[in-house]
Amino acid sequence: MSTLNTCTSSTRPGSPSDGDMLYETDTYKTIIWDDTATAWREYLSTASPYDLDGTYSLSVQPDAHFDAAKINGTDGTGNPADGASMTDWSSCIGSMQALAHSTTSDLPVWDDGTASTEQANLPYVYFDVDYMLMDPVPTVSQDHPFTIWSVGRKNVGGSYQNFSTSAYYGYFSHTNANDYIYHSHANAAPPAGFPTTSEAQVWMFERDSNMDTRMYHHGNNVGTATGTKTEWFGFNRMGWSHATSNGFALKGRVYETMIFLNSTGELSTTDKNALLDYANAKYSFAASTTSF
Amino acid sequence: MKIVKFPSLAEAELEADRLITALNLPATYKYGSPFQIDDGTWVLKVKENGSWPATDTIRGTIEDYEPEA
Repeated sequence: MSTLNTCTSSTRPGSPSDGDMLYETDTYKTIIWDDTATAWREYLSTASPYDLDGTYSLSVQPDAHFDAAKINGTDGTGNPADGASMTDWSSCIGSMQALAHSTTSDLPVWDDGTASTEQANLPYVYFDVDYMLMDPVPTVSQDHPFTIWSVGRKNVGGSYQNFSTSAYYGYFSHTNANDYIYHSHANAAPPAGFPTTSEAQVWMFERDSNMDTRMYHHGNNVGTATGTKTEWFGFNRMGWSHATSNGFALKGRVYETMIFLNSTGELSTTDKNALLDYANAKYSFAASTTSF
Repeated sequence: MKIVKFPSLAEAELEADRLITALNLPATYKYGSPFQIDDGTWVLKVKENGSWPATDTIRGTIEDYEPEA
C-alpha cells in the first residue's frame, strides 16, 4: 500500500511540483498541486469541515448548499438576469441541482436584490407557488435524522416551505401562520413573534435522532408542533409539493438553503450556532437570532 | 397568487395553449396546466413576473387566490 505524504493546512509545501499530492491531516482533504492554475486542487473527505465564508465553518459537510448569489454553485457569473425566470440552480458542494422546468407559469424568478432594502441587498430566488425539481433527489432513510436549513422571507399572508416530497410537505408554514409538521400530522402555533413576514429569518427544520421533528425559527425558537414520523423521505421539489389547487406552497424569498441527511442529519449545537453566526454576519437581520 | 377562472376545463386548456404562442415561449415549453379550485372552477395561474409574465396577455378577469392546505 502506498502512503501519501502529509501536511496541515498551514504547512503546505512552498514550492510544489505539478501533480504533487498530499493528505492534509487537520482538514482531512486530499490536495493536488495544479501548475497551470498555480493552485492546490482540494478534495474533501466526509470528515472535512465545511468552510462557510472563510470565518465560520461546520464540522460536517451539507449534502447540498444552494446560494442565490451563486446559481452556478461557484460564483456570480452564471446568475440569471434580474427578474428573469430561474435556470438550473447548482449546489455549492456535491452535484445536486434544483432544476428549472418548462412550465413557465410555475418557474420561480431570480432577483439581484439591489432594489431591496433588506438582507444587505443580497440576491434571492422568489417563489410564488412555483417549484424546481431536485436532481438527484435528496433522500433521508427510515429512522435517520435530517436538517433543512435556510434563510428566507415569507410573504405577508402567504405560506412557506422550502422542500417537499412529491405528495406531502415536510414542513409548511400555513397562511394562518401555524407550523405544520409532515402531512396532516402535527400543527400548532409557532413561537411568539414568528414567523416573520416582512423580514427574512433563519428556518431550520430538523428531525433529530429521537425522530422528533420540529421547526426552529430564527435560531432556537420553537413552537409546539412536533412530528414523530420515522419513514424515509425524498425531497423531490424545492417549492410546492401538491398540485397548485392544494397550495402546499412557497410564497416568498429563498436566499440560501442547506440540506443535511442521515449520518450528518442532526447538527451539533456548535454547528447550529455556527450557521446562525454565519447568517447574522451575512444577512444583517433586523431581529436578533436566539442561540442554541 | 393570481388566477383567471374559466367556464370549463376545455376553455382553460385552450387559453393555456394560446399563451404558448402569445408569450412566444421557447420550443417544448408550455405555459401551465389548468387546475380546479375548491368550488370546482377550472382556473389558470397568472404568472406576474419572470421571463414570460402573462398579466397583460392572458384573457379573462384576473383575481387574487390564496390556496389553502
